[in-house]
Amino acid sequence: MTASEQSNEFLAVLPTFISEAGEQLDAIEALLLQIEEAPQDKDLLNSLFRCAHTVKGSAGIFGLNRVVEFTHHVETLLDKMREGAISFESSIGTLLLQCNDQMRHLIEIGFDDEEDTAQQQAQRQSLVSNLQLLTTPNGGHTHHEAAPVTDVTDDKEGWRITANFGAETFRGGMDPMAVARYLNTLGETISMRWDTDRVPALEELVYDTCYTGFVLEMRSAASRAEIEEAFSFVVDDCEFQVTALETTHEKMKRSIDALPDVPRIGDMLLAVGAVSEKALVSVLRTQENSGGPSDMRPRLGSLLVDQAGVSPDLVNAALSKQQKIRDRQQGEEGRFIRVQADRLDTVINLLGELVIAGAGTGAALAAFEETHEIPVETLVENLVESNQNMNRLIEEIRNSTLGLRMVPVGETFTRFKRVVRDTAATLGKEVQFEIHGGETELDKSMVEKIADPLMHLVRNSLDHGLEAPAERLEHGKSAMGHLTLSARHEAGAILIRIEDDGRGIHRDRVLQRAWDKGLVERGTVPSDDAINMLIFEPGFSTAEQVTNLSGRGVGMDVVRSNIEALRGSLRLDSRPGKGLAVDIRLPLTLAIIDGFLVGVGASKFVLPLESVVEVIEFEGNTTPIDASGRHCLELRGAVLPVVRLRSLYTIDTGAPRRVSVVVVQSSAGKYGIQVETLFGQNQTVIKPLGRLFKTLRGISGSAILGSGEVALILDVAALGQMAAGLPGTRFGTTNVPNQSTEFKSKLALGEIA
Amino acid sequence: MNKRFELPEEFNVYGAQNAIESLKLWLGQGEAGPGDHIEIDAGKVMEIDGTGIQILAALSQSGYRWKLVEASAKFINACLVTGHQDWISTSEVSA
Repeated sequence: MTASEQSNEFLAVLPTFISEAGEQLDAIEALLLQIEEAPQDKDLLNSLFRCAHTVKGSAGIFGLNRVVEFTHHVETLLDKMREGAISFESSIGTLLLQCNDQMRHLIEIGFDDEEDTAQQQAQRQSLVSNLQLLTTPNGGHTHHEAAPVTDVTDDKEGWRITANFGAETFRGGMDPMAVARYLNTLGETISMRWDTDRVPALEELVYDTCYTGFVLEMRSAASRAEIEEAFSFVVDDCEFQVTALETTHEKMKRSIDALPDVPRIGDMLLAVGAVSEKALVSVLRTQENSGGPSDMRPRLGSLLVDQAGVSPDLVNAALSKQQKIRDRQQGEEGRFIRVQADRLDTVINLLGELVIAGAGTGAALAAFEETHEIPVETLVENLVESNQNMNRLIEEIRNSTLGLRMVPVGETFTRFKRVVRDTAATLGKEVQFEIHGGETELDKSMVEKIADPLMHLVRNSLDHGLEAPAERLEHGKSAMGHLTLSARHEAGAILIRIEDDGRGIHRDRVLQRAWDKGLVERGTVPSDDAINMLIFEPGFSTAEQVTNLSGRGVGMDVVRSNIEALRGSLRLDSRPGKGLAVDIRLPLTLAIIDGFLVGVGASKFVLPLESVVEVIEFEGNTTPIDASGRHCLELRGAVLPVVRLRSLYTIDTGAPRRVSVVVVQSSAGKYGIQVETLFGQNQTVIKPLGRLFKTLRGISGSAILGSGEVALILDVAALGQMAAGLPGTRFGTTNVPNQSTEFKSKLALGEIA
Repeated sequence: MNKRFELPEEFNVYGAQNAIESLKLWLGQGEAGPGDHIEIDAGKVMEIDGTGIQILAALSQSGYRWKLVEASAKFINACLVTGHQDWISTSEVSA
């Protein structure tokens, strides 16, 4: 084998290494969090060392020298801990977690030198210094005493220096201003913020007590060690941090990274000069002002053509480019899946049995054809038995095959341990985090998609739910808050619960905000549950929440829509002052649903059975129409809006003699769907819609029926949203129709039918 | 009514205690009340350190609005080092 062939072979298996190393790093993180609770556990330390050693060894095979060099320092510390020369402390745990993040970064970038930014290099050097401080015989324990690090400032713009001086600074003969003055000599100040927030009013001011800190950003060629030298005289009474400033180049790279995966039409046309920024802003404003949910607003492409005079060809070219990128991304999704060997063996064994059963049937038929000595009754009996056997095998194979995609949710849950640990520390909160039911299995694709909403809810609990220790003590609670993440199977679904013992939801405040934002008509007081659920309404989140909740700029409405996209549902159980439980109910798999098959004309539709509440039959051929010509009916004293699939999808076969209304429950409330034939329950294998039909509203997929016909699967939530298209309106549970907005919205629903 | 307060030459840790007492006394004499525009004269300041800066910050924290009317080179330099360029601009310093 030539060197080139060998190199290509290595590169081919690199993705496997990255995937496996990622698992090792996950294990390291989990072990570190476990060791924090059991620092004396030698087995955990040994496992930790083995994981780091494996990463280092595998990286060495691939020639990933950065990983090898850095992990070597980590390994040295772990080795000394195994020997008992160094005891585990919380600060060491934090350092090792940071090292683990660095190892992950190094593995992810592989051989890409560009991705190893100066900032990352500086951070890595700092980590190495701290590791060396611990492992060298005379090593200290504070980062202020760190050995001088290699100068990595060559391509740096400068440094950000944050300092907080202790109360004794002046009494010790030191002066923060003198430190700042010295730092000024090392470079050029970009900005200086003198922090006087802690300075009291004149009456309380003690003249020689220091209340000061500063944040200085400066351009400088000085090394980190030189900068840290400025604090050498105040090291005992000052907390400081020196971080490298991003260069303009790095800022640009970060901005590029932050760009959406799929470029927006407007951005593309702006970039090529097809539209001016001013015209684009104007078009976007027109679109935004058109009101209604986003999928009901006029298309940006059309507006750009009509309003900004952009050539339709250019808009189409941009759309085509966008679609190509989406298709490529979809193609790349889930290309690899790791499957447990015994599960695959089971499927293969069952397939073997199926082949044998098929062969048996074939042999019986062949024998009958050749000899005609077997009575027909016996043949039929054999074939019926064989058919039953094959049906059983097919069902088993179906279940086992779906089982291949099932993974325990615990792997995802474990990731949150670190999030809880770090977020709680940042917020100054004490939190005991527990995981229950991690072994519960869920479809792999679902596990991946649920991770972000779960992260959002966990952070929400930490940020807004759990109180700070002092506040908890004031309310007679323990200083330590409790957060539990649990999963279990329940009635053919999986139930994930995020529960805390914090504040719960302050319903009065939520209702007031909903009134202020027009989400609920002022004066209307919905049920407690309905008020709780308002936090998931688009536009409900305040700016403060958007910042704190997730750090990703998405609100709770995105959490709900993500969960609903998985055919899941949310329920809140809030006990004001005592805590909040968020229940997420998800189907076990995205591949099969229990459906309810209905017909309109010659077309067939499937409704998810779980959304069907009841069916109402009519003698007439259409549902009643109100004075405005909209379809609705009265159901036990309440007005029920009705969607007519015949009108919605322009089905123009002959009018039916009689119709039925299937009452469904969506997140927006109950509504009816007028259909003409009821076929009943049907287990449905979901097929995704082709590209051509991606934009079809109210349809989530298709299914092939036993007869070979194609049925379309209705998206109950999307139909509900289309129905609730007026701004600020929802379906409700109002029993008495009046002129409220809520009622008007219900009537307006008829417009689409 | 005299609304001008003159900072001492030693506006540092050695003179800070006296400076605070003088300022409190001056304020207590009703020379200026919270909400009034106080004029700070730093023209004679020859020595200044972090304690001096803290005193002016505490004056703001107490609800007084003040502006600098005179400033020595030492004082101006201290403002520049500590990022208090706004103090040496003409605008007043609000609480």
